Parts: sequence; C-alpha cells; structure tokens
Amino acid sequence: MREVCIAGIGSTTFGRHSAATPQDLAAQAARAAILEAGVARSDIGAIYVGNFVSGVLTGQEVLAGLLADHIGLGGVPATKVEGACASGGIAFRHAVIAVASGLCEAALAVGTESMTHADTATVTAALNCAMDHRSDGAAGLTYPGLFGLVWRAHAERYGTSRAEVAAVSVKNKRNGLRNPLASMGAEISLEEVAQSKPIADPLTLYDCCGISDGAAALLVTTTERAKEAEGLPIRVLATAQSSGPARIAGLDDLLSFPATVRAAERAFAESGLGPTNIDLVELHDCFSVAEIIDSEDLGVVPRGEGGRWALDGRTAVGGEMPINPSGGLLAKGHPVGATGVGQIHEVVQQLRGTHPNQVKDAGIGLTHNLGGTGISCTVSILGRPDV
Amino acid sequence: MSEAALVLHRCQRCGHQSVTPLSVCPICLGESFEAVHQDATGTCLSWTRIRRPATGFESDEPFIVAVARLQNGMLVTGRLAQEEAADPDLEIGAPVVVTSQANEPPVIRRVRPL
Repeated sequence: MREVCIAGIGSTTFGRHSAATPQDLAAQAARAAILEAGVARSDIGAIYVGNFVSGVLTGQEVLAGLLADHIGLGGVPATKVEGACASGGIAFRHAVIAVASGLCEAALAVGTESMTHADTATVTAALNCAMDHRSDGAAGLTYPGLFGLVWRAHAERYGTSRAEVAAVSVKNKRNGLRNPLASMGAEISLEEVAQSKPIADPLTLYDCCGISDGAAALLVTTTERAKEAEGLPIRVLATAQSSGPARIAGLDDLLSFPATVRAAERAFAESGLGPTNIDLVELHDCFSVAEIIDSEDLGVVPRGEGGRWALDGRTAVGGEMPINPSGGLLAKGHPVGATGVGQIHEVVQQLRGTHPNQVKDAGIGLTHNLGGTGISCTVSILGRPDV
Repeated sequence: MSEAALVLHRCQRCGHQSVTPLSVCPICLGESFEAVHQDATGTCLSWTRIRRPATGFESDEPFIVAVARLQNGMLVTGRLAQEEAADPDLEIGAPVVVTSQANEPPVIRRVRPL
C-alpha cells in the first residue's frame, strides 16, 4: 500500500438547507474539494458517497451515480456506502483504499444527508433503521433512549454527575460558536442543559445533537499528486473500520462499544502511534454522554473519567486532550451520512493551522465515527507532513 | 408455556441461546433452533423513560425501556411493566423477572419482597 494524502476539502454549512437535495449538497462539497486539490477530474477513478436515510426521508436513492453525473464524472465507478451514522467514515476509508492500493490516482469521498424537512418523529423512526427491529427497536427504544441507558449505567459505576455530562454540551456548544460550518453553537450554562426539555431520561434536549442537512467532501490522492494542491496536503496515517454487536444483548455492559475499542486498536497499530501522540480528537458526540464513553473507549481519557475531564476543562481547546474543537455533532448537528467526512474536514483544517478554533501546534489528529448501537465504527488518524 | 417464562431460541447443534430469533447460529453456523421456555430472573442494568418516541410508538407513551442482566449473563432489552411505569424508581441492580409476550417485546418486572 502506498502513502496517501488528503489534497482537497469541501463542506457546506451543517444546518438547514431546505431547498437543496442531498445530491445538490454533495455536488457543492465535491466541487470545492476537487478545485482545491488541483487534481484533474480525469485522474479521479472512484467515488464513494456516505449516506444513511435519503431513501426513507427524501425518496431518492442512487446518490453516488447522481453525484458522478452532476459533477461531470459520469463513467467513474460511483458507490454509495451505508453504515448508519458511520457511513461517512466508511466512505473515506474506501477512497483511501482505492488510492493506496494503486487502483486509481485520486478518489473522492463525500458524505451527504437531508433531514430538516421531516418532523422529529419521522426522523426518529428513520434513525431507528439502524437498530435491530427484532430486539431493541421492538421495545420502542430510540437513540436518545440508548444513551439514557448508557448514562445511568455510567453514573452508577463511576458516580458521573449531571454537571459532568452537561459540561460536554457546554464545551461543544461553545466551540461551535467559533466554527462557521456549525449552526448550533451557543453559550449555555450547566443549569440550562439540565433544565432543557426532557427527551429520554436522564437526557434532555441540549444533551442531544440536532437534526441537520449538510455535505462534506475529501479528495484523496498520492503524495506526489498532492504537491499541486492549493492547501497543505495532510497525510492519512491510518483508517480503520470495525463492526460490533448488532444489539444491546451483544454488549458486555452499557459502558463501552467494542466496535470503537477495536477500530482504535487497529488505527493505532496501523500508524504505530498511541493515544499520547494525539493532539486533538473529533469524535462521535451524538449525545453529551456519548463523548464520555467514546473518549474512554478510544483511550484518550482514562476509563470512568470522561465526564470529570470535560468539567475540569481538560478536553477544551486549551486543555491537554482537546475533543471536538469544531463543536462536534452537538454544535454542528448530525446530517448523518455527512458527519464522518465532516469530522475529517475539521481535522485537516486543524493540521493545516487554519481552523477557526485552532488547537495550538496540532500535528496529529484522530477522528471517530460510530454507527447504530455500536454496530459500525471508523477511526482515522491524520498527520501534518512535517510531523 | 408458563406465564412467567422467557422464550429463548436455542441452537440444536451447539446450544447457543438468543432472545432474538436467528436463522443461522453465530457460533457454529447451525440452522436448526428450538424454542425453550425459561424462568428468567436477573437484575436491572439500566432504564430510560422514552419521552419522544419514534412514529408507531406514540400511543404507548409514556413507556420505559429497561435492560436486564439475567442470571446466566444474557442481556435482554424490554419494556418495564406498564403498572410500574408511573413510579419508575427502579434502582440499578434491583432484582427483576423477564417474561416474553406474544408479538410484543419482553416485559421486565421488579421482584418485590413479599
């Protein structure tokens, strides 16, 4: 396998794009990534599109083919990939494999989703497509409900307080205020999080990421071709994917998702790095408490201390392990298929030193994208060329 | 089947048991299963009250989804019994019993001291 770089990035804002279709959003993001990379379209040999629920929510499928046609790449193999909330991360990994293996000189990874036109109950049901309908789904569990279960178990085991969980939302919402791609940034207090509308006890509204539209794109190519790029090319040091238990019954407890642990182990092994080498993390904070579990599963925060670290500011931008300086899903929203690609878009900006909420001297960044009840996961590690 | 039983699907080849019906055994790839009725007691692992249900579950509101850990170690996701949903002061680790319902998710009930 040869070394590959991200040479171009593009993203719409994550928020409300009521008039745009998911393929429109994808085309806008892809256009920006291609132009920034300075790669000829004739060099692009593969397109992977991460999307989760366009069929259910918009009635439109074959997004990858529609995108290829839309951006003048008709004829190029175009593939939609779906792994629930990890669809975007999986699309990126496939683009990396296509270039690293020598299959093509450049590949495009795009994630896209349109959701805000649908009402909350319809979106909740669409997201529940990622749950096993014969077990957890049949009981009426929702995703906020899953993380309500997780929260109570974490609090029982480690004494995690309401303030510690709310501190994740306060931090990420604040980070989002500095990120023009995030439309749900806010300055809120721990009390405001706790007192917002109850969703699935003990989760309240501000513990949950918002329903969003958006798309992001990455142009992946060889180190050689990346020299033509407008911006600093960023090295892909590892991209790992795993699957995990299909339902809660397959978990050991509610305090860890094995898919995350496995993907992180593989990504660290592939890159020869460990958690102490990581300068910043963009992880899957679909809910405040999810960031706590994810950070512990990734090994960047000690087991049981995720909430404490957030409350103490150790995961803030100036802290020892900055987590979600972009604002994460809590401030960007979660246009499901776009999220994993958007996370990498954020880390590329950090490693170029151009992020609006910059982590000082960021050299190596990690992204984590988790799907369903922990059924699919990707972890990628990216590096600045001089590190 | 006794009223207080949980239906498990047991692989006839290797004995692997699952609450969810399967067509292929994940352990031995066997494809024959038998339904076994088991008295299922355990403890409450966690619970949540669903206040914003998905479409199709609105009429059930309010309801509580709980996860029980059975004595044999298996986890089961089910509904807290309706008569207990109004007073969900369910402590983690509290003893529970899980029963199967025809065409419904398993029901989880507290075991109260007599």
